Amino acid sequence: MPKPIPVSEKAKVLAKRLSGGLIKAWAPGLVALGLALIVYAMAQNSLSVVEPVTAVSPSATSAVPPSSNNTAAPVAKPLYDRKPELDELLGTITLPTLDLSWPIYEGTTNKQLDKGVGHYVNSVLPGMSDNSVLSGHRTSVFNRLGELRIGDEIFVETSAGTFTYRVELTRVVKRTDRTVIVPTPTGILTLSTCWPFNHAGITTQAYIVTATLQ
Amino acid sequence: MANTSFKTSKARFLIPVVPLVAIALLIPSFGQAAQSPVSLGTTSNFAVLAGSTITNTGPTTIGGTAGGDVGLAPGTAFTGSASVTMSGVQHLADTVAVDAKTALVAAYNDAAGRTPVTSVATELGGTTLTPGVYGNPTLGLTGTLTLDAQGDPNAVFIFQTSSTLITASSSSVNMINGTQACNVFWQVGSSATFGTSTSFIGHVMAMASITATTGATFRGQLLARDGAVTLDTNTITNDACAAVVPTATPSASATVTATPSASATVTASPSASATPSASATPAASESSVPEASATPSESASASESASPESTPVETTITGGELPNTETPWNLIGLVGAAILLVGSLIWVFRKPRA
Repeated sequence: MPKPIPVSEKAKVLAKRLSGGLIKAWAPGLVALGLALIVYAMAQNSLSVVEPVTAVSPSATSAVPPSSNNTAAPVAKPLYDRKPELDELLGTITLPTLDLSWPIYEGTTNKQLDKGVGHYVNSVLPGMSDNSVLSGHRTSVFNRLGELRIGDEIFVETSAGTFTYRVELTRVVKRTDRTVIVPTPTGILTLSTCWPFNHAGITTQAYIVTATLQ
Repeated sequence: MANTSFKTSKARFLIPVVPLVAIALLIPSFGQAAQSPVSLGTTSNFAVLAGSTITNTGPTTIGGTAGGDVGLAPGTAFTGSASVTMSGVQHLADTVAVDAKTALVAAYNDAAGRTPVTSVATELGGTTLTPGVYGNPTLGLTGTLTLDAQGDPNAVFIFQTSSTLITASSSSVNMINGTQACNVFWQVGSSATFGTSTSFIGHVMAMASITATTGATFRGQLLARDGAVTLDTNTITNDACAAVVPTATPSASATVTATPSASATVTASPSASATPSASATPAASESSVPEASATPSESASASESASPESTPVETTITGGELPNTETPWNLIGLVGAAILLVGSLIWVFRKPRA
């Protein structure tokens, strides 16, 4: 007649087996977690597709707002009667040569950039005299920014009208560069995104497009 | 047996790691330790010290009980010096200036190395801070920053920024409850720019240049390590610390709302700065309501949205940091890859069962 094993001993054995199992699962667990994160990131990357807006044709653009917006207004009086709220839809940006059009939201956190192009809150609004800065993810809205060429037009439509910019300069800078977001005496549109466009990891550089208000 | 050896090797490794991580996480929540003043060495005699050039426009007055010297090294060009009224002497690339520059490097490094650092929002306007070390990659001031020494005349305030310090026009630093300008230090990683008619307090130590636009006044020093100091109709008063700070300020500190150590900082400042009872302190009269909420700080988005002042942005910030357009998924993917690698290594090199 074998001696019955006390309950406490059973518990100890069970605990030992459990902990042993956990420890054995340590390495495979890490591998599985790593794989899961990679798959999750890849899935999110492919899912975060921003809905483009209907492209504004150049002819329609000039027809919507009076062209006076582009010429006289910027300095004379404020184009906007209030500062937009964070996350507010400001309008659209159209890159006719690439046949792309995206919504613009106030702010440049991931919340806005996941939905479209973000307007940097410490810069003037599009159409105003000075430097208006718009940013976007290189993996979505601005993934083809590198295809813009000097002289290409950019249309930005907001509540104040539609403004035409012409690409004047493209360049790659360090993301810590403090000479990009600076005041300018004339109307400038600065588009920024991370660079290189197809780099898989974290980037330390930014692709900048500078366009002048026409 | 294998489990036991595992415990003794890898599991034991986790024992100190867990509390260390916990401590590391908790450290920032501890209170600020009292700081000693940054040692300025021979720079203390200089109201203005620069590396490349000093350029002045308009009548500028430089003086102070600690010293009203102007120094420059290795540069030699002090343009517009004729319209500067100074109580001290000029040291242009002489040994005194060179020594002072060496001392400035030490002082700069001292200030940059102070810990623990409480993170503050980029925009300092409308906040009240108690003694300690505060930092943000970029610092700006629109309106009034109040420094509350809480009755300690030796209280030290140190501000650290790896990039720029920029003040808007008519910004000011307000000192209450015994704060002394001699105990306020600004370590600026690149350049400092002071807007028109700014009223500023403290020793400004910039790695690159310092620009004081028209009418800006300073109680402290302008010390540029490598670059230029540009002046335009300014008053720089480099006073030594007073032995005793009188001011029978009553318990006005109770009225000043903002929680200093909180990283949220900005708060709904327009009404807060008008703290009625703060009028008991003479300096409080300076802190006029900061007009509108020109809060540039992106991190202060919550407060921005809370202030429905419908003032459109009028200018673009100078030297703004490029928005981070990196997708978070890349980072998550990289972390996943790292975990995968570690897991694979452990798996490959684990001890085979006996």
